[in-house]
Amino acid sequence: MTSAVIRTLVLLHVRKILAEKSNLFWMFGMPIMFTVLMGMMFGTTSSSGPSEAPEVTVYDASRSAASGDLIASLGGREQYRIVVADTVGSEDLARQLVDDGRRTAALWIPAAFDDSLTAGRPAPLRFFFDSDRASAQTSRTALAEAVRRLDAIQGGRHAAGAGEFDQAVFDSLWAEPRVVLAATTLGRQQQEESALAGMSSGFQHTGPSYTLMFVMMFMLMSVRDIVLERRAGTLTRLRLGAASSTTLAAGLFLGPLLVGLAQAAVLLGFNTLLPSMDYGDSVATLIVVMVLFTGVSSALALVAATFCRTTGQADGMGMTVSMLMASLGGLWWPLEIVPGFMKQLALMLPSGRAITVFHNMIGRGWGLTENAPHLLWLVGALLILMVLARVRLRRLIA
Amino acid sequence: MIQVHELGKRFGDVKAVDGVSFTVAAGEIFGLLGPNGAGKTTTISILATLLPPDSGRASVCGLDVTTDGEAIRRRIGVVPQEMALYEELTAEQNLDVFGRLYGLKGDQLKRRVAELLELSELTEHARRPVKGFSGGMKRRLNIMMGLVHAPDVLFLDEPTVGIDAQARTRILDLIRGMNEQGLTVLYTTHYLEEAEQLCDRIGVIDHGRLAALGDKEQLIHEIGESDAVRLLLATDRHADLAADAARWPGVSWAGFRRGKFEIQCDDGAPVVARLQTWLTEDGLELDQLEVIRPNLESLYLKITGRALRE
Ligand SMILES: Nc1ncnc2c1ncn2[C@@H]1O[C@H](COP(=O)(O)OP(=O)(O)OP(=O)(O)O)[C@@H](O)[C@H]1O
Ligand SMILES: [Mg+2]
Repeated sequence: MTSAVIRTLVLLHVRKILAEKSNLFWMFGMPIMFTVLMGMMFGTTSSSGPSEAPEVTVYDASRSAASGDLIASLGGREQYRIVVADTVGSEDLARQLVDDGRRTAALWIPAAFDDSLTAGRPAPLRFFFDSDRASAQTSRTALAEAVRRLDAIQGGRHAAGAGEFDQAVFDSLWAEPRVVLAATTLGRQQQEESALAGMSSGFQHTGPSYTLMFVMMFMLMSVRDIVLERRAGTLTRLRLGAASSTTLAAGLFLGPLLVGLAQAAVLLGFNTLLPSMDYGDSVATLIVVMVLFTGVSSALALVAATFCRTTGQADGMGMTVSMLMASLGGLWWPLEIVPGFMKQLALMLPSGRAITVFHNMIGRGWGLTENAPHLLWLVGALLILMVLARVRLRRLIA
Repeated sequence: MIQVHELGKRFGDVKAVDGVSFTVAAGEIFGLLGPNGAGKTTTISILATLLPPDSGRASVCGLDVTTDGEAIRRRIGVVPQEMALYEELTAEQNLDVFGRLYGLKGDQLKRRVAELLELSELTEHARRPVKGFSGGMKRRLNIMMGLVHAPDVLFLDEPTVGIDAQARTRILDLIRGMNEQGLTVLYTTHYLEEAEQLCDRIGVIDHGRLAALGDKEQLIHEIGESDAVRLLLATDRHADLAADAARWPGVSWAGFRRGKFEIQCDDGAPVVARLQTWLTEDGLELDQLEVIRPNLESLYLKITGRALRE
């Protein structure tokens, strides 16, 4: 019985939406238009500048063949760029760069590097990095490899110099490497690397963000529907027909939720047709974040409806809430470019949490575990709003 | 079928329903008659379990309204005062949704919807959105919406407001037809003719209190069986007429009442004849003349001191 009532309420919601053809434009036409146009705008800015790989500075005091070779084998990668400083620099300067957060990693090659190597003495290297940043981690791994390679080359030279392979010499080199890498982590936990760094196209922001925005907006537009139902008396009719007011509340929550999910599926699906658009590797995260966000929106709309008496109030409320959620929550522009306190504020909104999860999925390849704090926040918000909606509706429909 | 005992409900300082008692037998059409704000809708809402009463008891189909809400709601149909319809949906879709809500499905649902469309003569408009319907069509559909699940009792709250006489007649016929099929009806209105035409028994409610209750004849008897001749003279000789008419046989009272000269009498016909003679003797002319036989209107006036038309 209960499930038949809920199914009917969902069917009713779908019918009401389909009866008004302009709804389809609001649900699909508008968001697609915005995604494409705004994505193209963001696309041009991100290809120059902010999305470039972070710099790893090298102070090369030795300026020798060996140091040049080492730097060359560090190479440039997708995740970082090696920039050799013009000045000789110093160990302290290198440390300073990372400490200040100006670089994710910095390498200092002492002046005696080449001489020590040639003389067979240990040749130290100083590397400072921020262990929280992906680019620093990668450059550190690359440096370790380059050092091993240099050591092996030294071994090879010695072996070749002796005319034949001398295992004793090799073993001594193996046990006591000539190039000594001293890597120092400068933990800068609070400063995470921007997820934007891992994103290559404006669509990667506008795709998910306009999907979130229009799903929420369309749902808040339906606040007016519930107000109308109340005024027309159809809500009373539903109350008479539905077995209990809990069932009625469940139906009023699920109808928009399912329609919102269908809308999201279409929009997210369309987005994948855009250049360099994907949602990372975790389909589960994509589904979970979308269900949670849509659920939160539906519950929010229901709560909002109980506070509105007229359609004018409903429209005003819907417009204000969706504008605030979208702008402050980072759906209009990426949160990565707003000041810290605005970022904190955004994380107090479901929209801010949801888009952060999307950026983490797309820019960092994060899944359920890494996004857990945001997803759990959304679960909490959903529960609170559902309880609130239930309480408010009970007062409304007795 | 419906038992109401000392029912009370207040909204702040307003006593919307104040100690109302009545019963409605199975198969009866009961009319609750009263002006705006009398407490009709509040009474219906309590009986339909949409509002809890503050005091008193009420039962519908032998079930208590405060404790058996869910069971009662399955067995009653409610036609609210407003047109509670989905304007953007078609007539068929509106009925279909509420049929499903009450657990109908498949062929059974289709048959019921077709039946109700037929009954309300809306079959040819079934696939049109309700927002294009005339007031009368909407009213008929509004009634059908309360009937999808074939209830035992139907509450109708002013189902004929704002439509023309022809459409109203159709609706009254519709209700009478359903009643003949065994439906018990509680009907509120502030149109007297409707209550007179349709209802077996009538309760008059005003300011939340039941002012009169009984079948039509009983109520008319209550106000006395006198007729009233109401007139206005073309000249100002009303005082003379009052003095003379009071002595005519069968006349109980003569004088001004509610802006007209009124002669209360056992029978209107001989009084009118006497009046004609009196007028010719003095060469006077009449401006207006009417003879009022006792009806609910006079009852209503007597009870509330207010006329009952909008
Ligand atoms: N929800 C409410 N809150 C406050 N007052 C109410 C409420 N519902 C009704 N009232 C008041 O209770 C009284 C009875 O109202 P009710 O709606 O029952 O009258 P009614 O007989 O149906 O009138 P109408 O013919 O205008 O429909 C009125 O004074 C009305 O203002
Ligand atoms: Mg009313």
